[in-house]
Amino acid sequence: MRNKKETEKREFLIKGLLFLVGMLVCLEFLSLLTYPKDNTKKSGAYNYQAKGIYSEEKKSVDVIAIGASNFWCGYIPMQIWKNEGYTSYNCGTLMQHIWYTYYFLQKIYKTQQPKVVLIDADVFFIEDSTTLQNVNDMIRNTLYWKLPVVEYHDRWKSLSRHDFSGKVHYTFDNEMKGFYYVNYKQPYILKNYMHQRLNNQEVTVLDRIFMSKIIKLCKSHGTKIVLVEAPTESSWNYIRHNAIAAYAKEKKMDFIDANYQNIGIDWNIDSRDGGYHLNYSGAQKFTTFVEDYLKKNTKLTDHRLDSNYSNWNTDLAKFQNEVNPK
Amino acid sequence: MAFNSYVYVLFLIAAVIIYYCLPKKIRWIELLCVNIIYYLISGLQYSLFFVFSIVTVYIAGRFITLQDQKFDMITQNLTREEQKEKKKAFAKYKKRIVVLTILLNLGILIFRKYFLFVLFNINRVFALLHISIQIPQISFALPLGISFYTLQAVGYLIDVGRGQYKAEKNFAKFVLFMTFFPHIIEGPICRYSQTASSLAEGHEFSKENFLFGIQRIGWGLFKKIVIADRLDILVNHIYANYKEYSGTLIIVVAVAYTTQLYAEFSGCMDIVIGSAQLFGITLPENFEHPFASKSIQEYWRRWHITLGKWFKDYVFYPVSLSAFSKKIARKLKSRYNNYLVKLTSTFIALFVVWTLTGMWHGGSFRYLLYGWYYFFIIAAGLVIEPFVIQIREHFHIQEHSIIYVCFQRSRTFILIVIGLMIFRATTVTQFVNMFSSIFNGLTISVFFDGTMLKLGLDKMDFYLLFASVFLMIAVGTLQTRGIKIRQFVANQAIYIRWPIYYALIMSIIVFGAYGKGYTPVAFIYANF
Repeated sequence: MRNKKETEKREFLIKGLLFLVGMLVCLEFLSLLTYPKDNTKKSGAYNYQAKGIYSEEKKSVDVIAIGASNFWCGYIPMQIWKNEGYTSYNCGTLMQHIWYTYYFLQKIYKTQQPKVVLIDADVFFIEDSTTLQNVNDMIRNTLYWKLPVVEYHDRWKSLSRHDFSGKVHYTFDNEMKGFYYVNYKQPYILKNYMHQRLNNQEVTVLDRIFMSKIIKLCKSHGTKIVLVEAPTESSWNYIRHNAIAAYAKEKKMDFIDANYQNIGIDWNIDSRDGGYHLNYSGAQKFTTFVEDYLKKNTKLTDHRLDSNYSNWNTDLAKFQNEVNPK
Repeated sequence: MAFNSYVYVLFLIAAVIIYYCLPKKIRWIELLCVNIIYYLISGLQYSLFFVFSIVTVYIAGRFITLQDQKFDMITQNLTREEQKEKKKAFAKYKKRIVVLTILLNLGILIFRKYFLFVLFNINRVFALLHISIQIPQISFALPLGISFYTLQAVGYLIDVGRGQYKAEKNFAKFVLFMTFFPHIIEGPICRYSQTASSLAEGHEFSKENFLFGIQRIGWGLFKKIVIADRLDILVNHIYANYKEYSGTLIIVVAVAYTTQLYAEFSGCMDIVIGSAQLFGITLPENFEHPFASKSIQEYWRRWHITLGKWFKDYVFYPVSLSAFSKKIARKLKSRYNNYLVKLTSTFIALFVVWTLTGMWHGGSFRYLLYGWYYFFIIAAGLVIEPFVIQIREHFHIQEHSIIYVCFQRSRTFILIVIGLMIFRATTVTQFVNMFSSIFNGLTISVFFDGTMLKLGLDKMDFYLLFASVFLMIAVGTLQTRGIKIRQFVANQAIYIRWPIYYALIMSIIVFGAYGKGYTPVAFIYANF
């Protein structure tokens, strides 16, 4: 009797495991089907500007700038190329959480071997109101990257015959290199958001877990990590600066904060939305700040005269034409 | 922790695994810990209110039971007359305890729900009277599940007061009954006699319960994510811009909202009951194919069943049998002796029930109107009932003929749709405007001229909605005919059964209205 029960239990467990395996197979198949087969906007890819990195030449990008919207509209790879000849890409996206940064970097490493990764310190603070919501968001993002059907499920409406082939071919040639160009301005009435305060803020456990994963990932590829904060009054303050400075010190990483140092930002002309994000004028100043750091603290190669990188010069011409149309 | 969140799924899986790994005797303790953790991580800031309700109701319950025991001891050697007198005194004392505890608990509920409403309306009156004083509005969220756990607590206390069962002695077990996590946010409102022992008992793992529980959760998620959340896009679009729409589109949105609410609320109940079933616990059903109802009374016996039963047992009967109702009925009877006078106490009780039902949903005039709307329909139904019977007999209409049943169901459905228009509107004025605009521009051309595709949904969404709502109706119809779908599927061979399970899971993942491009939709009843 007991043996029969045990056998039944075992049978049930095996069946359950088989069912789960079958479910994973179905999900993998649907993921192949729904995943956009290109990285263009038309293909249905989300964050297609940042994902333009997928169509860059293999192992051609030396610096990856990754983070939230402050980075997206603050860091200009083409300026760095023009002045220093370093190849870099802006992988900033709207409201990027640290877990998204981790999974995105994982994917980037499949084709690139960056020497420096600039991580937007904002990814530590792009958080929902509760820990529960953060955990939920973390699980959601993990699923997005591991089982793309969860992120791209809505593509069932627009599937074509090509989707059934499962072949992915990235073709997006982005002369902005991920940078989000905006040239209008909306002044920020200065309230000195970086004034000294006594309060403390800690980097959360979840953020620490994912940052440790990022450190491990970058270390295994011999990449230097630099934490960077772009000028912003909405998501930054003295307390956050201190929290990240302490964390960077603990992890022996460099941390450069454009809010803490005077980089010449004029909030009357350098913001596009009243201090939340930089416009092109502000982005130029911030990029110069990062450029100085890279020049002084890294040994990156100037590729401007390298014929293998001639397409960067073509893109530079296109970029300049776009930001300064004749 | 919303039932359609990833965290809930993980939380549930962990809770179930730990539950069955522990010895049977202490499984209820695990369940208790899980409930407390669930409440603390979902609504920590307001847990004090919940603790207050639990403690006061527990103490009052125990006190009443102790009084009963004391009464038995004291009256052992008394004469019948003395016993009667003592009983009266004890009953009065017990009643005071019950009423006081209920007032305390309902007081919190009423205060939390109506404080802002009253404040807002005082300010409006001031403004109308050109008085420059404006009381500042203080905003605060409602404690998690307050409307549901308060009714559950009050029901328990009344039952104990009535002597239907003895109060729970074990405080931990009482907390378990009050806090069982699946039903804390949206019900069903459980009776102590129905669920307490099942919760406290350690259940043996049952393959059937486990599989049926998962299936039910899956079906609930399908209704919520695929149907309700997709309809929400259309409903929100029209309600947000209702002045731009009239005629047919108002009817479309009213029917869409009725379908949305049903899919969502019944879907939520499927998740709740399915979650409980994973632990081997059976919770009461809250829906029984409400749109198959032939009358509004029947509808309310099939829609939000546990709320309806609660009001019936704890408000309707006590009010209709109260001295006040009887006195009025007697007075009227002495003057007039007709059919309507016989219904006086029913009308009084109905009025109280529907006013409270409306108020229970929240602090807004539209909820009061919602309650009174049903009072009016039910009361009117009772008034005209003899005439309807006469007409039916006159025209020789069979009560159970298909045409007559179809007429009754259609009529009831229309009344439900109108009721839910009141429910969904943000103000009474919005309802009045929308309802009156129905008769302005009734045309079927909106279905063919592309208007429908400008409401936030595309063609594929509509195809999917038609197919999934058809599936929902088909499943409901089969169930009304006594076919147990889950049992039927479970009886099939593995090569049929598993593809059905996979199809359900994959359709939720692929066709669900969630993730990028969609706004997350909170459970509607979670706000009550």
